[in-house]
Amino acid sequence: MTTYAIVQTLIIALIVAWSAWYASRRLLPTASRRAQARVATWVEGPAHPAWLRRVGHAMQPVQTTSGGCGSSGCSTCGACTPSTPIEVQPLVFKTRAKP
Amino acid sequence: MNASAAALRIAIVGNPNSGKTALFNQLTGTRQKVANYAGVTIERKEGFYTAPSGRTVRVLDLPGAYSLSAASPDEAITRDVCYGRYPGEALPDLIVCVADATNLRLHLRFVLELKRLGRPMVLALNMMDAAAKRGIRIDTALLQERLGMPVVETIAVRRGGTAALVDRLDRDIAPLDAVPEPHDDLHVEVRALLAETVTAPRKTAALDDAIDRVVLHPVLGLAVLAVVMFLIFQAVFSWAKPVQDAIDAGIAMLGTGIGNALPAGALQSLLVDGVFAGLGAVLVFLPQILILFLFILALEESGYLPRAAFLLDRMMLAAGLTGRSFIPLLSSFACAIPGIMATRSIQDPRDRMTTILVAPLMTCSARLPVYTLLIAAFIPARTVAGVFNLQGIVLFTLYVAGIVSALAVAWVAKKLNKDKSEHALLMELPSYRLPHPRDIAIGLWERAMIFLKRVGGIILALTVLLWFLSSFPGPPPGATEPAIDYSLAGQLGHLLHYVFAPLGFNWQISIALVPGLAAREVAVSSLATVYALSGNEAGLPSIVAAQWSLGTALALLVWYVYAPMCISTLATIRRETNSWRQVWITAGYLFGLAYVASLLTFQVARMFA
Repeated sequence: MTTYAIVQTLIIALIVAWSAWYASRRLLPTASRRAQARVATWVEGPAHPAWLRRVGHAMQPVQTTSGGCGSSGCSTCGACTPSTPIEVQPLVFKTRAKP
Repeated sequence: MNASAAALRIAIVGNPNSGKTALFNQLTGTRQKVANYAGVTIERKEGFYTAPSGRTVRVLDLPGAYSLSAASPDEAITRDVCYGRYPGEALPDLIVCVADATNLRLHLRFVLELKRLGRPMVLALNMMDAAAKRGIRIDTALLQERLGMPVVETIAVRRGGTAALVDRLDRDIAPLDAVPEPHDDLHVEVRALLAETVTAPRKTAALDDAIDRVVLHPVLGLAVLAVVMFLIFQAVFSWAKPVQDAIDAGIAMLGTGIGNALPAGALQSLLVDGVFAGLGAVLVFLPQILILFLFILALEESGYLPRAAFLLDRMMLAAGLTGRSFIPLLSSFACAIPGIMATRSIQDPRDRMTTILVAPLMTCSARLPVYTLLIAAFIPARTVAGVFNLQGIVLFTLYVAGIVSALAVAWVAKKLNKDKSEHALLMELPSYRLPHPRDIAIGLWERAMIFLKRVGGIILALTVLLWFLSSFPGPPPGATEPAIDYSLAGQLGHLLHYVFAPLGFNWQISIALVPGLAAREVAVSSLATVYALSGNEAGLPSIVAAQWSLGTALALLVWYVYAPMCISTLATIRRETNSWRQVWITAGYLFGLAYVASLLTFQVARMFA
């Protein structure tokens, strides 16, 4: 394998890994954070050396509020505010009073 | 007040469309969306600024409300914050009530209601420039005396128009006398206040009345609306072409340059066939998206949109919606997500649910790249009747198809609901305003940035992933077909082809539909990548025109009118309705409609071919 082929493979692997991470973070935010936390907890485990535990600690996902608008795949409208927590306003059905 | 004191927490409240968000933007330097109609802000927004004294001021921008007796979910947020009942939000130190100086007859009622809370309060008389133009004179000093609270004049849309308010907020403001039991009629109190402090030549602006005589006319008004919408879609095709060609040529040149600079191999393929072919195919639609939004922003600022809602109320009522659904549905033309969230301003839960159900049928801007790609490839750029662009007419028809389908689905939902009650539309018609070129320019800039970030973010990521899946595993030794046929994506495409073949979709289209679930434009970049990896050198429009039948193109257009091709929209429906059932109903009926309509389109087109 030539040096160019090794560098090429490394670059492609990095770009594809970033794309997979980015897409999962945007489309499956909760699941990807959960997966990241699981990996970070394992890396942070007491069996590992101190430097690796520090890496694991740094890998722990930051608690943020995820929402569809802005923080998901869609943000074409400009009406979204990624930094603002989105308040849930679920529908509540009430029986209509008979006239 | 001094710099060391704790941050002052103020809440901006007031009737809808009084200029609260414009004031919030002016105070905090943010750029929250503003428009000339009620119901733009549906959530609380937070910002900060430093007062001249050095004190930090935390500003809350709240949804507009007519009363503290909340009628809709967005009004409930304002009510709860004012009463200190909003979870995680302390009672504000000070209420800044914003009132439209040209419409105090309506707005003062809420001021009096808020006054009864007994909290420290300032009244910002906004739009004083518009009031002065209409000859409305307000004795601010007397109004201040009668209300017993500081009254400050503001022009929130003008730089420096809030200086007096900033100065006033920097001084101590005493709490008001609480009036726990409101016995007297607030309207009587408002009339007395107006008689004492306001002189106005007439109740409404003469210009507004003159324009409304035409645009609110039951026949003429509808004709004006149709012409406005028609012109928008004509412009989308007529004006964008030169810029699109320039972008296309630039991207092609860059791609060729990079392709030539790198030795043949996977990295070259990733950049040329993946990144440049994929992203380039989407990027060329930026001019068309900006032209569409130029008109939408201008209409939003002008005050015409609520009139359009009023005009369409009767038609929407017949279909099981109300005029109140108009603004959420109109927002859905940009993106269904804010449209679905904007349904919070609809008081009736069933009306709200129906509006959520049909919002994805409105043609969001993400569909535009797919539509314009296929129209440009299959519809000749001919002039009809000497003036109209044929491609523009087809685009207009697709938008109309979305609207008509939404009305039809709402009508069916109404029949299934067995809900025969009618809900009257009460909507405030704002004064007409000339759109401010600076605001439009900022709006377009933000729109362009959002699109480019999307291209450089989720679309890039998915295009790279699709390139990877379309390139690996490589072909076996002695393979005769293009390499993509042996890849994971190729195999998936051939598998999906069994499902989509009756619709006239080939396996390349079948692949593109999958990443298109994340963002509709990705379908275009995916097609470009898949065809580039299949060994096609020409641009996507030429490939599509040469290799697809008219029936396939029409079926794909129809598919995109209906298809539930956006995961984020479904996630928003889940959040807003708190129901997976609603998500499945929406996705199911959209998929069913898309499949059946595309099937019919393709089969009919094949019969006539």
